[in-house]
Amino acid sequence: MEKAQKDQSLEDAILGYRAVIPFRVRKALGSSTPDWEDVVDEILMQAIEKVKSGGFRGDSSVGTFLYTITSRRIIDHIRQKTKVLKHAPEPAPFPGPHSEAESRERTRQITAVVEKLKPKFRDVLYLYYYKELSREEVARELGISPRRVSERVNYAIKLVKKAVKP
Amino acid sequence: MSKCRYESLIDGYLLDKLKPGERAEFEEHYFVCRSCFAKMSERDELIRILKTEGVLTAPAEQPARGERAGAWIRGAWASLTPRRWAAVGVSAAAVILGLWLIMPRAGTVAPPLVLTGDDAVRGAAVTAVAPVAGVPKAPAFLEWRSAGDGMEYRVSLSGKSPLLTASTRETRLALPEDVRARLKAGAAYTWQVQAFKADGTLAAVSSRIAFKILPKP
Repeated sequence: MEKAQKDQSLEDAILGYRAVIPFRVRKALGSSTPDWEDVVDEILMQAIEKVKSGGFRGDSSVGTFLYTITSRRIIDHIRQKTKVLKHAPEPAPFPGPHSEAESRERTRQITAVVEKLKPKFRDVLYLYYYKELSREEVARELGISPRRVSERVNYAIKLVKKAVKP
Repeated sequence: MSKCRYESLIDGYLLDKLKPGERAEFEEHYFVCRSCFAKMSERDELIRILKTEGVLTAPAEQPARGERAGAWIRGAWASLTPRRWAAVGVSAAAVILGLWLIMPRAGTVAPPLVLTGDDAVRGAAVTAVAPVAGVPKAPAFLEWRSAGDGMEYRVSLSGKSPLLTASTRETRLALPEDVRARLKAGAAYTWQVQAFKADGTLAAVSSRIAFKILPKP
């Protein structure tokens, strides 16, 4: 009975990683990969099964335990997919989770904030995040110091965060 | 609230700029650090929006300090149409002409030389040698430097009134005794040499040289 309660609380902890595991999987596979959600489900199932079978002894944190399972499953998936791709074409892009209403609303809010930023902040965001230049490259491009680039990026992020989280 | 040391890796991770070791370390970290994961999620959303929503445009022409002059020149160059090119050419020609008109002519300009009492001429100069300034007694010769081959020199000597006018092809003139006799101690005199070419044109002239016969002690 005690073990069952412990397993249940571990399962709840694992389900609390529902946001972290998809992030890692999408980052590794790309959010346009259609089966990334299946991979996430497989990881969660595998983790819960391990807990039930006593495979997780609590030597490491739940986070580290899930990180290990997630990383291994991603590697397996990439290997498997490479084999399949030799015979099958790339599937059509699958719409990401950003089509949800909540996500759309946040997108609208962030867009509005960025549009209202002064040009000096927009320029830094454009070069640093859109063009993916390094801080030093942005500094050279705009004739300012790298430290000033960081300050402008942080300030812009702060404004965005403030606007999105009332 | 203290800042997690992994926070500085968020941008690098999302923009795929971390080294493989750092990347793996950070991935393991955000599985156990809720704060970093929350911040990374927010940043990821922001970057996605910036990249996909077309909310940003390239900065206005804002080159680094060292390149601003070059950029200005390139901009000006690019804005020149054929008509503007013609205008630039005409303006440049006008400026050059103006400068040519107001600038002194090339070459060394000789100082104004007094040819007669009122006239002055510009041209090559004959350099007087002696007598100049103070002399102890009436000079036997008037002497100057050559102004060129084949010159005829016309020499004039004056006190309060003209005393002598003579011509010679040498670079000195012996003063006749009667003229020397009229040169008095303590008095001031002037002399001048003009050099004429064989065709009779004036080629050079000396300044009017003043000398004084010093009084006898």
